[in-house]
Parts: sequence; structure tokens; C-alpha cells
Amino acid sequence: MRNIYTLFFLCIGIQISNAQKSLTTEEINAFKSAVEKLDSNTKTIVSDFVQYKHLSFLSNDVETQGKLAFKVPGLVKWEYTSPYKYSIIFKDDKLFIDDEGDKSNIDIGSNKMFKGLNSLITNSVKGNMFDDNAFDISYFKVDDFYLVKFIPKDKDMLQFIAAFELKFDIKTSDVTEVKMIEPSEDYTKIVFKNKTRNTTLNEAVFNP
Amino acid sequence: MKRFLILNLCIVTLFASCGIPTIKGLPEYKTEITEYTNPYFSNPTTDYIYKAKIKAYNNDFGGILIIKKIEDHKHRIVFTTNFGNKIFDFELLDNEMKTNFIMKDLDKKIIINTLKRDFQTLTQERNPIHKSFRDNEGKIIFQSKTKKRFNHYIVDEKTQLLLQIINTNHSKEKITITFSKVKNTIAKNISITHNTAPIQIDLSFLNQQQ
Repeated sequence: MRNIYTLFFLCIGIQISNAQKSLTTEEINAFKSAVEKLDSNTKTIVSDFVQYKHLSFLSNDVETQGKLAFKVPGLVKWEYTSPYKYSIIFKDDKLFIDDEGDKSNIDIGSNKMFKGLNSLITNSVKGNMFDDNAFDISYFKVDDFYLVKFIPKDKDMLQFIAAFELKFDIKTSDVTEVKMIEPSEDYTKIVFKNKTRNTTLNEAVFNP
Repeated sequence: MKRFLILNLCIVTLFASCGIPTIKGLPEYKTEITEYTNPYFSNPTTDYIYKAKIKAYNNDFGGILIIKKIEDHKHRIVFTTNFGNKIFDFELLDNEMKTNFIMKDLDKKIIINTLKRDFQTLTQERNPIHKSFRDNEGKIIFQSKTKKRFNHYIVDEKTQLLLQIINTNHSKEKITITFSKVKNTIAKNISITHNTAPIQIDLSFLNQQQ
């Protein structure tokens, strides 16, 4: 009987280790340089996305959809198209908001929070946010993707984000999913779809 | 004589300013109902998800307001940015409010109390009726007493729909909540107007099933 239990727990152990396996130092280095190479060769990114807001007390996640556009060095347009229209554009140290036709802008030149938000959005879309000074980073292989967990070191950020989790396609080294987990374990998950790099992107896309 | 006139003038002014404008001059309405039930946030199986636009003191905020009845007399109210970051997360139980989270910049007593009153007025389900009135346009007004104020539930007599909640003190209308495009006890549009401060909240329902 004891052998059956041992076998049972061994099987569970194997299952768990299959589900999430830490990367070796060599694997981490190879993976990071693949992501950095992809990033350095990237001039533009366009993608659709689906955002899921998970709150433990809700019956269903709140689902919104949209499109994003990025162009070097730091032009970003993040646009929700369903179930409502809302867009923000980061351009020339300003944040331009269009909330269903109500337009406003914020000067982010001196605003630490918005600057941080801009670099987080840009870096998570690109996948290149391996900053060991800002995060405790751990690397895993799960099924056919890499999972990288970033735990912020900044105490102010930790108050609202306990961790970021980025999923990467093993073959392309591109980010396919970003998850921001709050201290309460509620989270926001963004899944990228139809993501393409280096397509021609007219600068007018970023006009507010 | 002069002193008498001044005293009279003061008394007249005082009485004139004391009336609640919402029910001023309206005849009382006889009803056997002792409690008015606000139907809009009363279904514990519904996730009430609204796109929110808030204008407060020349600042504009956009985001998503999520309301859910989690127990009898208890609502969870969460406001997030469009990106999903929480701005605040409250639990309202009758007159008490528990703050699960609020952004540092908003963590001020005056802001929390304003939000508490707004959401209490919006979601409080069972309200004992103090007095009832009827206006000339077929609207019944159920007046309910809160700690220091009154809530007036303006109901269409024919359709029985709750059209407005007007929160007042003894002399002024403080908050007006207007419900429109009501379908299956869900108000698709809600506007919350502060009459004595530049705060305006507009909510539109997001149908997640579509």
C-alpha cells in the first residue's frame, strides 16, 4: 500500500516538474540574447490584444480588446476598440488620451509614475525588461513556452504590483502574454494576437 | 420696532432656507409600503461592469467601475484604470465601509468619505420610508432618512421605475443620481452629479455577454 502512495506522489512530482521547470544558466543566457537580438532588430510592432481583468469575487473576467502600435525609439499607441473606444499615445514626453472623443493630455516629462508606465508598456511589449536592478527575475520552461517572473524591487510599485509574468514563444522568443499580479492575487492578463514586427507603420498613427 | 422687523426677517429667511427643495410644496402620498428597495445592484449573480468617466475639480479620470452584491447588505466596489490597475477597492456594509485598497494619492479622508456617500447612495438596497410625496407629473417620491441627510427615491408611478435618487440635507440637494436606459433592472446609463462641488461621474454599462 505504501508503495502505491509513493508511486502516486512520485507521479504528481513528475507532473509538477513537467509543468514548470527552471532554466539553467546557459538556457537563460541563450534565451536572453535571443530576446535582445529580436529587440535590437525591431523598428515597429503592431498587434491585437485581449485584456482579461480577473477579480476573485466576479463570476467572469472583465474582457476588453484592442490594438497596439510601437515605433522606435518610444512611440506607443495603446487603443481599446471593444466594448468601448479609448486610446492613449505616448509621444514627445506627453501622454495623449482620447476617451470616446473626450481628448486630454498629460505632460509626463517630470512625472515619475507615467515615465515608469511608459517604459513598462514598451518593454513588456518588446519582451526586453531583464533589469536585475529593478526586478528579481526567475526563468521557467512550461510546455512549449518560457515563463519569466519579475518581482519588483521598488517598494512603491510593490504596493500595487506583486509580480509581472511574461510568456514567450520558445521558437520566436516573442512575448505572447503579459500578466500583472496584484498583492491581493487579482490580476490583469493581456494576450497578444496577430503580432508582427517591422511592418511599415505610418507615423500618422501616433497623431493624437 | 426695527429690532422686531430684523428678527422677523431672520425667522422668515431661516424657514425659507430650511425646506428641502426636492419635496417643497408637494402633497404627502399615502402608501402602505414601509421600505423602498433599490433594484439596480440587488442581483448577487450579476457582475455590474460600467465604463466610468469622472470629472473632479478640473481633473478627468477614465476607467472601469465594478459593483457586485457579495452578501446580503454587502457590495464590493472596485474602480480600475482601463489598463486594469486598481484605483480603489471598497466593501460597503450598510453604514460601514472597508477599504481593501486605495491609491496613495487618493488616500485622504475627504475623498474616501465622498466616495463612501456616493456609493452608499447608489447601492443601498433596503431603505425605510420616512415620508412619501407625489408630484404633478406622476412621480412618487419616497423619502428615507440617513444619519445626517435624506435620500429621495423618485419613482415613475406608472412604470414603477426608479428614475433618480436625490441626496439632501435639510435645505439643499447635495447629490443627484439619474438612471436611464433601464432594461431588466439594469440601468445602462447612470449619472452622479454633486450639486455643491465640481464632481461629475458618468457610467455606461458594459455588456460582457455580447
